[in-house]
Amino acid sequence: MNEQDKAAAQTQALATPGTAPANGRHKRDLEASLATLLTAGTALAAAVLFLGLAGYLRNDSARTLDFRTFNPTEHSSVFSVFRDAMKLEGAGIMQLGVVLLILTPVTRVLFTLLAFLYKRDWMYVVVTVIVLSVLVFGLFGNAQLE
Amino acid sequence: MTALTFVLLLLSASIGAGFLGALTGLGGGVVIVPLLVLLFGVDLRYAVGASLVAVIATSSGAAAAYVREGYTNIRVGILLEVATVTGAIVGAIIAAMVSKNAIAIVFVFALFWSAYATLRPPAPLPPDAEPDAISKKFRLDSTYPTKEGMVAYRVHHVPLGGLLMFGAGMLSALVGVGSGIVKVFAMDRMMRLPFKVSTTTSNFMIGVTAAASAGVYLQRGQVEPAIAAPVALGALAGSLVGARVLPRIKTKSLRYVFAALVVFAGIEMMRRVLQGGL
Repeated sequence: MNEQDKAAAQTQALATPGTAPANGRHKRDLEASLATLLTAGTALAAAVLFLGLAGYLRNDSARTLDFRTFNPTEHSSVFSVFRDAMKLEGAGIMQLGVVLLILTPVTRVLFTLLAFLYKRDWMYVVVTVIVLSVLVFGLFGNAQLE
Repeated sequence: MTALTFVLLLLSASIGAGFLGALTGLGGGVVIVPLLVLLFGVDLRYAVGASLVAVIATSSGAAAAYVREGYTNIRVGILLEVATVTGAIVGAIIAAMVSKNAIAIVFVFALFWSAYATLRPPAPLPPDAEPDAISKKFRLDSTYPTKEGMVAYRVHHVPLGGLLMFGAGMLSALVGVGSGIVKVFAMDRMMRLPFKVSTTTSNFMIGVTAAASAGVYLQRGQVEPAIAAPVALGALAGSLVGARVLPRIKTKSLRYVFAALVVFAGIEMMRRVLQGGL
């Protein structure tokens, strides 16, 4: 039996509730935190979306909508979304909800990065920084159409 | 259509899409895009943007539960996310360079693959106990809960998995789906993770993958709030209800309904492309 098999057998034997090794406890702490973060982010975004949609329907319900041809929407950057939402108009608040939704997995990655930093797990710190950089590029990289 | 009718109809349709997506395990994306394009007459560019936002909502909601239960392999997820987010950005860039018809054809392919996967769930593979050098370096081997307690498993073929994940990210960004099928295929079939670990880790990664391309589409003005908000809210509500009733109902006949719907959407989309385009 090599070292890894022994470790696996040990985990299997120890992984009954109450007798989990310290490493398993950290794993479970991280899992619980990530779950809470994802739930809270989704719930917050959904609440903002709901408020925005209610406000939109209150003021613009009679407006005729036609999305057959594509015209870039005016609500189109993370910064301007926060500014527009301050005007307390339905569309602006809805788009804030959309941005909060997009930021939820991004925050999850950021939180994972902090957890790896705390554990001084440098290899995964590097991996997580790469993922985060690509996400930030996607959000702020100004990759315009045409 | 007035805004009121549009929003209410879209909200109800998205609840249905989220519900079906949760029950069949395929997510809402494959249903939402054809729904928007074929029934609501929405331009494909808006449809893809709105669908990605809905995909983030449903996957984040579901991922929370799976992570808490200890199925998700967080290290595998993070490592493969390097490939999926990179693929997503590349896909979003390609989407700006190709015609809508080209995107629609890729979508039809994704629809048919979804239908096939719904009807023919793969037979479980025996676990592969051989150690793997890369997996050892990145400490990917882990344990997961089963009825008989925690069971250890090993992870294999990481580079091949990463390559497939890059493709999954590209597909997700191009056509606005979570591409869970490709992710599960890579982890379950190629990397030999247990099926339950594959599906939950896929779910964990879907939100991050979609967030990468949704950011690009947001900046391009492809995320229209009046479409994205009702779609995301509806799909989220539908998927939460779906997850609740899932343990209590038989999904077999539902899978046929879903597959028929998806095939119909694929044929209709193809017909539109051939008749002069979207």
